[in-house]
Amino acid sequence: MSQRPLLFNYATADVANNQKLLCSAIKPHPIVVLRKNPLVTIVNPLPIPGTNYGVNFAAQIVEAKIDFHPGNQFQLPAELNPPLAVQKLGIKVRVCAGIGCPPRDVIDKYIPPPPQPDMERPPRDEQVPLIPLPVRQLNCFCLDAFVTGGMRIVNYYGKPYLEPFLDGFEIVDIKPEGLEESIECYVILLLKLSVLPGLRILLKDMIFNLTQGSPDLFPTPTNIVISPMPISPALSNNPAIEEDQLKAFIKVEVI
Amino acid sequence: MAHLTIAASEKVFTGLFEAIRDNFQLTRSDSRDFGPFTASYSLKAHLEDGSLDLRADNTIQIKELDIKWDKLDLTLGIDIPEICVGGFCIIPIPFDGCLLRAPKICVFSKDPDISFTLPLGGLITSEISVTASLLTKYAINPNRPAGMNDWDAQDANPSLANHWQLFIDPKFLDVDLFDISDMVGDLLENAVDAAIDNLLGFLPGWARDLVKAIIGSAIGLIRKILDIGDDIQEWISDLLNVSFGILDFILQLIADYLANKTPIQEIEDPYPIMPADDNPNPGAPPKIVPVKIPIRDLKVYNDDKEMVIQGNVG
Repeated sequence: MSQRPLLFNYATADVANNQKLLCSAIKPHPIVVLRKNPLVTIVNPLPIPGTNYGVNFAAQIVEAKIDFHPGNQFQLPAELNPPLAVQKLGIKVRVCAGIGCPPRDVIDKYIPPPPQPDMERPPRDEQVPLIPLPVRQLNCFCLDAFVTGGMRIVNYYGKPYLEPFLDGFEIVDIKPEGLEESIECYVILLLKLSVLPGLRILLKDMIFNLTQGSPDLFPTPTNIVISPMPISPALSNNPAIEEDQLKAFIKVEVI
Repeated sequence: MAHLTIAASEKVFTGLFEAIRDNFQLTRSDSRDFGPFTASYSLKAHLEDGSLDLRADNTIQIKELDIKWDKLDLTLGIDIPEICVGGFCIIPIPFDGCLLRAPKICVFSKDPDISFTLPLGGLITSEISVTASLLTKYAINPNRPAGMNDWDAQDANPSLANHWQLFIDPKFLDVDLFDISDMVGDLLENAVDAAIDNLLGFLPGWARDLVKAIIGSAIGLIRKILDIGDDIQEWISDLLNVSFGILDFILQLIADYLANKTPIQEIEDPYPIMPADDNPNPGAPPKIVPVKIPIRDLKVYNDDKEMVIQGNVG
């Protein structure tokens, strides 16, 4: 979270440029500051339908705690059917978010007058960039949320990736139920479509020359390749989440 | 519980051992002047057979690994004391010298006078047994400037990253280097006879017989010059082991390979788990840094079934 904070922090450009507005201060690793890496992923403002205006906002995952099966680090909420299922992991996150609602006197300045008579309107399908409304502070709130999921090896472009997946998400204590479900739906979309894909790890076939330091004794390299073990009757899960560990089984071949 | 555990089965180790064994090749030559004789050798060897065993006492045992000498040619150049025959007076002139003398012929005037090569490759068997344990070392890159951060170290070309290294640390190394066949005595005697016959071949029969009568048995002379005692095998073994230091050389090679020079595995620290990526935001910088996790307290051990590496991250 400290070395790649932009995977966990999303905000509009105005908020990104004035990070005192964020709901929770980001504590980046020194290298992130040294290399001038961004702390947040910049996203478009929330559009106000019927206008060219948008509202600044930020959404942040500020804490995360992970628990491998069998669950013993935190209690899952009833909605996620505890205890943690076999071969699954649980994540407890604290999500903070807020929108930058301008003061009412400022809003009034943006109320559009009626259209001028005889003035030609732009075509309806014309894409006009959103104009973010000015922001002085975000109206922040924080929620605890629980995720259940696992890890799997999936091939993309013929190469295996280790990727996290999500199969349960629950935000605690939001009413009414429809609002909770809507927010959960949105966060699930955010996690599945944005955050988790960024956490994939390419499992490259790693080649090592065991005798590279002694070319006089080993004129030809002694190469081995390390790659993930395929699932088989003898290996039903790879990676496996069990005994409070994430286990990856690899095979070593001499090439 | 350690944060990170990597286990490798004995089968994996056996496969690695066989691969390293089959790729091993040793070639070397050297020569020395020992005064009355010179010696040189030229060798080429590979490894065969042997077995690897993970043991319950946290050691690894390699047993009965054979060194196969594809070539081990020992060339000896010997300086035999000069012998002159003839030159005696056939028809003397009383009180006034000699009217006719027999021709004087000298042999063994060069240095060395004879040179022959003993092809020992097929007559020597050698065997290595090693008991070792696995160990980890933290290697700080000696070329890395003080204060350089891990990301700059990784970006440097060549990389200046630090590493955890996994070594095989030999505890007991037994090299039965030269078990020399009895046949080497006959080989030496035949080579010496042939070399002397060849050297004396230009002499007339009477002179050759005379020289041979003077020197006695050729092998006896050579044994005396070379200071070979009763045991030719022991003398050759000492020559190769002690004088040329082949034993030390091979022991040093094995120890260096196992313990100092060549880790069997290296793990960069901190370990990059996510590569550098494109900056998703407009503007600089174009890339964001890789994500790296520090590895600490890395240790390795084995029982009779598997090798285990454990460490903590963060």
